[in-house]
Amino acid sequence: MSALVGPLVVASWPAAVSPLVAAWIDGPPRGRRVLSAFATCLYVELGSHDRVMAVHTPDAVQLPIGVRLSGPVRLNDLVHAGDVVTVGGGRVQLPGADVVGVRRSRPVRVGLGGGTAPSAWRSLGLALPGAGLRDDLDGLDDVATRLCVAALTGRPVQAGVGRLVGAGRGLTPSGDDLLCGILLSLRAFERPPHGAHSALKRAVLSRLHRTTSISAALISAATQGWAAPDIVRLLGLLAGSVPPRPTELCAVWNRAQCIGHTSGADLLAGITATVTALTSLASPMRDTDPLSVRLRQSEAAHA
Amino acid sequence: MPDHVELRPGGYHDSVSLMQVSHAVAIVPGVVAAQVAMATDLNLEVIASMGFTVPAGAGPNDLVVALRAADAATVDAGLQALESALADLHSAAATSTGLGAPPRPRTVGGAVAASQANLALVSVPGPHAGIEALDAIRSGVSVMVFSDNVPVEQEVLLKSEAAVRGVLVMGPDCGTAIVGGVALGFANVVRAGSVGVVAASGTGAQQVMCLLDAAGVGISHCLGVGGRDLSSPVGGRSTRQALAALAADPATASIVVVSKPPAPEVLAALEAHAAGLGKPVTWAILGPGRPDLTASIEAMVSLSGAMPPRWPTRKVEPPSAPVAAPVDGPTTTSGSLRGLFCGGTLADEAMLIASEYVGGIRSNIALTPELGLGPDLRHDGHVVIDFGDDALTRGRAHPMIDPSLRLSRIALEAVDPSCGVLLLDLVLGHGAHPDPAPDLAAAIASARRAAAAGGRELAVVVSLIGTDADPQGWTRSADLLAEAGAAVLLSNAEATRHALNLLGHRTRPRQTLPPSPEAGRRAVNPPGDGVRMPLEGEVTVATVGAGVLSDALRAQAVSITEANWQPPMTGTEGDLWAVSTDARRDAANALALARMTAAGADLVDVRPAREALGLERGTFLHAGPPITFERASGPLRGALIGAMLLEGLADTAEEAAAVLTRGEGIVLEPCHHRGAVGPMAGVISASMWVYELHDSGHGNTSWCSLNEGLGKVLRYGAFGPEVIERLRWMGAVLGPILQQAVRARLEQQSPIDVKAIIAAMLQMGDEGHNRNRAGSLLLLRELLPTMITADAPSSDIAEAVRFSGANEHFFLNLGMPACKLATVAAHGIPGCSVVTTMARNGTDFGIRVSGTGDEWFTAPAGTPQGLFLGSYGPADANPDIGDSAITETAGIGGFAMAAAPAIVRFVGGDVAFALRTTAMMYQITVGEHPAYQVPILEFRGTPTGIDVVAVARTGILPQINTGMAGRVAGTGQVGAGLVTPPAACFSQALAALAARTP
Repeated sequence: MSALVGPLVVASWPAAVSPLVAAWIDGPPRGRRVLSAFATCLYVELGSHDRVMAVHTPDAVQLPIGVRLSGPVRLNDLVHAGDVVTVGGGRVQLPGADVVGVRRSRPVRVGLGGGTAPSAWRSLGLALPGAGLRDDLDGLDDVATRLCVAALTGRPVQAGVGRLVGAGRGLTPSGDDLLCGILLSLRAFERPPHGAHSALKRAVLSRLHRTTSISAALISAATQGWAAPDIVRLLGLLAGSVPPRPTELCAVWNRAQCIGHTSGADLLAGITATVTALTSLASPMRDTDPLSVRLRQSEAAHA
Repeated sequence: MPDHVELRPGGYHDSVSLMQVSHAVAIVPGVVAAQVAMATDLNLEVIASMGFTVPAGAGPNDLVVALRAADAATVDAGLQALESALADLHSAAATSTGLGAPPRPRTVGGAVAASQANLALVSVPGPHAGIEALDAIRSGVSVMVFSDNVPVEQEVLLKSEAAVRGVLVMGPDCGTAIVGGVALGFANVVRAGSVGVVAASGTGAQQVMCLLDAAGVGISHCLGVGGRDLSSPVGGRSTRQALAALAADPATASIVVVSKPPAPEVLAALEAHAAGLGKPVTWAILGPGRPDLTASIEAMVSLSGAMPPRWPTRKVEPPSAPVAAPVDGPTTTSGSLRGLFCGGTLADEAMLIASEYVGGIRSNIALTPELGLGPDLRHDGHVVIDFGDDALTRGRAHPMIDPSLRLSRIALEAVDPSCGVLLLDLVLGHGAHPDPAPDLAAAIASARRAAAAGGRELAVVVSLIGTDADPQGWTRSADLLAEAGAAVLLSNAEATRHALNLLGHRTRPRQTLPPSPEAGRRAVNPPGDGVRMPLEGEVTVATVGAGVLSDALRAQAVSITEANWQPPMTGTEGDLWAVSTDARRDAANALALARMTAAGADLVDVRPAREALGLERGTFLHAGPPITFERASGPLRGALIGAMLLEGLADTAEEAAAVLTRGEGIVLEPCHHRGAVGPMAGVISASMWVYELHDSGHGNTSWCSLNEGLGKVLRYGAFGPEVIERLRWMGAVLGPILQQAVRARLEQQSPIDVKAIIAAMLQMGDEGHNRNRAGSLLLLRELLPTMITADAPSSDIAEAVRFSGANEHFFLNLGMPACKLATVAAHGIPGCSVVTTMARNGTDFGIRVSGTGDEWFTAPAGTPQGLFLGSYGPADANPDIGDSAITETAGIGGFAMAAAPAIVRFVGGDVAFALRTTAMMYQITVGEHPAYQVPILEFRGTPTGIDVVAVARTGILPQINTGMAGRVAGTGQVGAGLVTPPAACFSQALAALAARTP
């Protein structure tokens, strides 16, 4: 595979295609718009608001909607946001290079849990860097925690979801990443029949038009359990029947933090919010517990 | 002595980079001379003057490589080092953001760490494969070992360690695997499904998977276990692991194990074990009296309730069925079976089936010894040849890639009247020849014509192992072969029976075996912790030596990281294995690193050596390993002469030299033997004052002389009156003032923490060996308050302060003993392969290793290469000298070059080189220093704890930054540059470590 080539030579780049976007790659060729172009990742719309694929290099995070190249290249030297590229017939045609699907990739998924409470959390969670509630989310993490409590106790979730979808500045706004974290961890930890997860999923899916396409696509995937490998691994460790080794847990946690600019940290904040909610409902926390104090403070502020 | 000269057009590199590349080649043991340069007139003159013949037409834009070595093998080693060095340059340039990219890791462990790979692939030559596989296993990933010629003892040890670590060794000699839809090595494109394959035979597994695919049954994974796994010594260790992995894999519902004839007791034990796995296991095992592979697969398909299909064929009329009547078409009942195979298992299967009907079959892989073939592989009767056997693949590619040997044999059989039927296999898929059918078809057609010309009908039967999804295409290939006159069958067993039919034998009808009993449905032995294989999610691979295999992975859009591998130092394979498998080593090295980095260094006193070291009159300490006056170089001789004069043991230089030569009443000893260190010549005599440093944590003390400043000084071998006078002043004035200052500081406050100064100076642009400016100022700041208030005439104090402040290497003489304390703390740990001393005496370079105690490993010292002061040049430089390499030994100096990019102005290179150097050193050290951090590397700790094993494995020698002394005594400093220890020191040390393994 050649690295960077000029426009006169069309290289052929093998890529592994996620089953979530394979239908559009295999289907008839159509022009699709590039929503956003970075050095290591291109986002391309696939015809509806929440259908997006991410053409990315191997060192970028493995997204469930990804078309993964096998070598490094600076993608934003080839295309820019707003360009139209042809998708279909087994490939994505970029200027100077054809991205050819040679195999299905195997994205990983958070399975529907049997209701194992993340018991390891209490002793490990507070030792994880950045665990607990954050100060830089403009109170969104409090909203997230209260939303979880509401969902888990059968109370209305519309308002809480409405405050999170699309909240924040980035390509994947912080509120969306918090919601993804909540949805994924409810899948992993909530007892069947996963009522809270279903309620939140319905509310979220009805509001996808209020955020970016890229974020909508990722939220959509998250409602089905699809997520980046480190997030899936983290939830697997926490939901497992065997308590995870602290070194391994810390390593996965730290890697997860590095996803995107703030996405990783926001996802983890969503997971933290869910666990806080589950833990406070399962057994009353001691008054002096920092999480408990914070929770009560936030409840009081919004009563 | 062979010369190698070549031109590489269009390969521009800057001269500094080429200097590094030249050096990398020149230090390969056995290389006599090497030049890698742009072919400018000037460079060509130099090369010609070295006796090389320069090729005509060389132009200044061409790169010229000139290499002279002891023998051809060394030339190859030199060229390999060249490629490696160029690859490092390219990787640095490729993603250049001005600071360069880190050099590629040279080991598979390094590649796994760099990429978070979850699978390793090892394809280096057999003698080196064990070490790489061990590295992968210890990095916590499963490994596919494509290499063959791995000793069985190593295989057993690898697989035992893999069992402990919960990973799988696929191999050695494993050429076929499919993990998560990714084909590794030789594998067909088959549909995905729920059958897991455990393969002790590559082509056997390919046959099985193609049959299953034709029956509409898909594969979850195919895990290779290596051709020798089911032998007695290995005992099926990998098979057990593979079964465990598949038993725990949710995508796998049933398992089939494929093998050539195994050791019976191993098979029996595995069958018993498999019964408790919780999933049905089919044993497709070849052997006398056992079903063939096709029959086993038919039984397996029947298990699911389906009827096994008619396996695909071409031009087999009637289909291979019970022969009630003679077969339509000509039969050659008078001829013999000639089986020419590329796949060993397929050859075995053919022989097992055919022997039942035709008796003994001669072969190069005969079922019994008396059925062997002579070297020409010819015989009048029935013959089966495996062209993939080791003896036939020396110096040529495997027949699945290079078919020429078999094609020649086909032509021979065509004109041999005793040949009745040709039975051939052809394997398609990844890794095989891109399109082998046309050539084989042409050979078959030509052979049949030749036979016909001799009045004979030559029947040809081909077992074609492949699927339509393979790049070559089964149907397309089969059609080509059928057109050429061959009968083509997917099943090798059926093909063999068809060939026998054509020879007039009646073969038994296709056996529909009853499905094996529903054993294995209950999980009696549920898998424990599980085996770490990337059976779910994406596979990311770290490869070493893999070349073509890597390309095949990239073509499947698998992300791979290739290690920039080169063979270990010549002759060290055995020692590397012995030391790497020493159970004590990991813990010993960890302990050494912990002690080395925890050691403190407090300046507690300044005293005459007579007091501090009990140094006797007539005893002289010197830098480096032990040496005699005869062998000493100019600077050391000069320094010893000067010391004699200082001590009053001689009145003139000539007298001093004479006494030193005679040696009466004179003792020469390395500083290191007394716990001291000395820069350059490093001579310490009784009257000289020394700094005394203490590590309270480990209870050790070290010493170093006071620094004389720059210019004509004793440590560069000057011994004139001004030198002696300065030394006397240092003893009479400077020493006592410093003593007062140090003692007063200790009393009033605390000892000066030299380690803390090192940590601070590294963040101020110093590296502690060749650049000490910030450190010297920090030290002065600590000393001044109590220097100023010392009890001495103010003019003396002023001179002492001026003298100290003017010397930009003032700190060196404290940094060195601080590093000495660190290495002493790590010394003497049994089984430890960490270097605790690197020192030079101007003639020899010597190292000592923690696990081998006080034994020195020496070899002739190299001469530094770098930049010269004034009009000095390379001819003026003395070989490497001084104990200052103790800084690199403790993780600073050249190892911290990234912290001191300005140093490249003195030693040569560019800033990217400085960063790359530190990055390279991480590959040969045990860990990172918690206290000594490099800001530009995001405060990463410096590479600390040189590991002899890593040096021998990667060929990366510790990089030392040093001053250059003039060859002639008293010249002084002539320049500064870069030097590495001789490789021989490390191979010797490794051998000594190996001799001490339990």
